[in-house]
Parts: sequence; C-alpha cells; structure tokens
Amino acid sequence: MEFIDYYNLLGVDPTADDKAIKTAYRKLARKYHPDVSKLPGTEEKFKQVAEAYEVLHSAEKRAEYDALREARSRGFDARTRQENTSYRAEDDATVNQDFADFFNSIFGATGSRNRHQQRTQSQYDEFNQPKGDDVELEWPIMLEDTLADTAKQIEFIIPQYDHQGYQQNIKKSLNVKIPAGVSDGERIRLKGQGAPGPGNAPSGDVYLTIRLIPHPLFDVEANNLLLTLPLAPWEAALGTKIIVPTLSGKIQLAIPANSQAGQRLRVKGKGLVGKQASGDLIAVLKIVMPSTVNENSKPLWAQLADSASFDPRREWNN
Amino acid sequence: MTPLSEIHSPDFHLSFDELCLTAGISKDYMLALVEHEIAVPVTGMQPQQWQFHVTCVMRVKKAARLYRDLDIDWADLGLVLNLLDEIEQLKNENSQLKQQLARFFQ
Repeated sequence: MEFIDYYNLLGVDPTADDKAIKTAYRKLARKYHPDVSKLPGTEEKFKQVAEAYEVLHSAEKRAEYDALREARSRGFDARTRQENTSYRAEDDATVNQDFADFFNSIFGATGSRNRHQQRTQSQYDEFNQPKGDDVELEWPIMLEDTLADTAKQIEFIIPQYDHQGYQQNIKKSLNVKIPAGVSDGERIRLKGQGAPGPGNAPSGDVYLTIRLIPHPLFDVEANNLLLTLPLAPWEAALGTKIIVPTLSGKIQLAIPANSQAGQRLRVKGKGLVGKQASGDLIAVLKIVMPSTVNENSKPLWAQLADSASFDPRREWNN
Repeated sequence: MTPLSEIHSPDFHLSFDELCLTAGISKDYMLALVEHEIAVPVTGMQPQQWQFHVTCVMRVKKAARLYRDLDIDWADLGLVLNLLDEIEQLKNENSQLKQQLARFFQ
C-alpha cells in the first residue's frame, strides 16, 4: 500500500499549525468541491483533501499519523508498523476504495463508517428521522424520447455500508417514465429508490437530471429545434422547395428567392413538445459554394459577376 | 427490473416539513435558508402553509454541502449558489453556441 503524505496533499509543512492547515484545506476544497468544479477527477481529489484535513485537524489523529510517518521515515513501511502495534491490520482486498485503504489501515474501517454516518446523521439530529442516502445522477436522453411519454431503463450504483463500515456497491435497475416535454437540466425525483435507510428508516430518493444528448442535425433553443440548412448560391437566389428532416418525419420547406445566409425560416409546431405548446423548427440558412468551379460553370460565374453589379464590401467604402 | 417508479416532476410541491425531511436538513437550518432566499416557497405566508417546488430539494442539499464542506456563511451561500447557477447556465449557452457555430462553418 502506498503511503499517502497528507501534508504534501494539502501543500503544508509538517510543522504547520491548525490555522495553516485549515486555510490550506479551505483553499483546495473551494477549488475541488464537486458542487463548484465539474472538471473530471475533482470529486476524487476533493475526497482526498477532505480525508487529509480530517486527519490533520484532529490532534489525536494527527499524532497517530505523525507517529506512522516518522516510523516510515526510519525505514518501516505502513504495513510493518500496523502489525507491530495496536493499529488495525485489515485485509486490503475487502476495502474497495483505493484512497480509503490508507485511511482505514490507520484508523480502521469503522472510522470510515463513522465518518459516513456522522455526515448523514448530523443532518437529521433535530428531526431524529434518518433516511437512506439520496443518489444524484445525470440521465442522457435522446431528443426523440422527449416527444411523448416514454419508459426507459436506467441502471445505477447505490453505495451502501455494512455494519463494519465497508462500502458495498449495489447495482440497481429501474424502468422510469420520461415525461413528454422534459428539457435539459430538468430534475426528476424517484421517491424511495435511493439507498436503504438504517433499520426501519425510509430509503433515500433518486434525483435524475435530464441531459439532452447532442443531436447530429438539430440544436435546441428553448423548445425550438434549430436546423442548419445548407443551400447552393442559386437556390438562395432563385428560391426552391426542399425536403427537410424533423424529429417526427420529413416535411417540404419553401425557400424564398433572395434568401440570405443566417436567415431563419420558422415552421410552426415542428420543434420539441413543450409544457404549454410545442416549439417550432427553425431552419438557419447556410449558403455553401461548390468546392471547385468547373470549366463549364466558370463562364457563367463570370457573366454573373459582370451583370450583377453587386459589391459585398460596400460598407467598407463609407 | 422494478415497475415504473413514483415520479415527482418539477411541478410537484412539498410542504415545509416534507422539504426538511426529504432534504435531510433540520427545521432551523431550513428557516435560515428561507430567510436568505436560498429556498423560496412558491406559495404560503407562514411555514405551515409554505409549498416548495420539488427541485428546491437539490438546491438546499447543495447549500448544506457547501455550508458543511466549505464553511460558507448562510448569508453568502445565496450569492455563491446564484453565481454557480449562472456559471452553469453560461457554460451551457457557450457550448450550444459553439456547436451552432461549428455547424455553420463546417
């Protein structure tokens, strides 16, 4: 097992006083707190920082840790120290959290359980009505799935702690109804589907945050669907009729003559399903030039240049 | 696989007591959260009449985590939560606009 230097983790000197340790913890906690930073790996980093602070801000635990650190510097490894003293020597294989292994090896897995219980229990003290942990998940949903009430299966892991404080994850599978018209960021609560409560206490809940999966063709703006529609220059100039995709099939769209790049054409009611009314499909026109001008079309472009008397940079002359 | 679960959509409302129980936060703390407009009742003048959106649960739980882990005052929590919401909203908007721009210049 790798020795973890909590002082190094918090970026403080081993002689640092409580105030310096608290300041270092606060600084790192604000940087890595999972509610503040969504960068990958920050939650794990925060747990490590919190673990280091838990040990170093307690005089008793810090003394115990310092003794182990000192012994290690004299050539003993963490394992030897545990076996030669009253420290708990747990079977590493039974502890499934890598970082917690180290903490548990010093303070025992029951310490880990107590920490978990303390955090959970302290919030309920005045209520005296504990319940199981809630589970918060992001739920990726296809745009097509939001058009009507749809049932979809979701699988997730519920962390549970046995009576010795070891974490034992349980895989759970639920069939959940996606209400028609859900939008990105919306939350759904599944009552009582979280971790079981201690004893006869009620189970926690599951909170799903809807995340709309980016679509290969459509972007979402409120409950409207944006479709970038490529046009040839002559289609924009002369107008045309084009078959365009929607989420519920294809429709014919009339492109008026003299259309401009960036122009928006709205098709009522062909967007996402909304709580009050359906959104619209908005085609955003994009004028695309052929990648090469062939010998046949070259004279035609030259003829157009001579007869159009069009200066796209006219505003620069003002 | 279990049958369809009991779903509480964002339109679902909770009483003050239900919100405290669901979020696992004591009544005193919850009153502080209401006082600092972190939890805002949608209806009701008195705690006994208050009704909260179910989405409020996540917000007050987040507030409790920040209070516990970062030692932030209740008074500052409202500002922190609003700024975090704003950052998330701007990030989402930014990524949507980037995606639209990429489609336009492809």
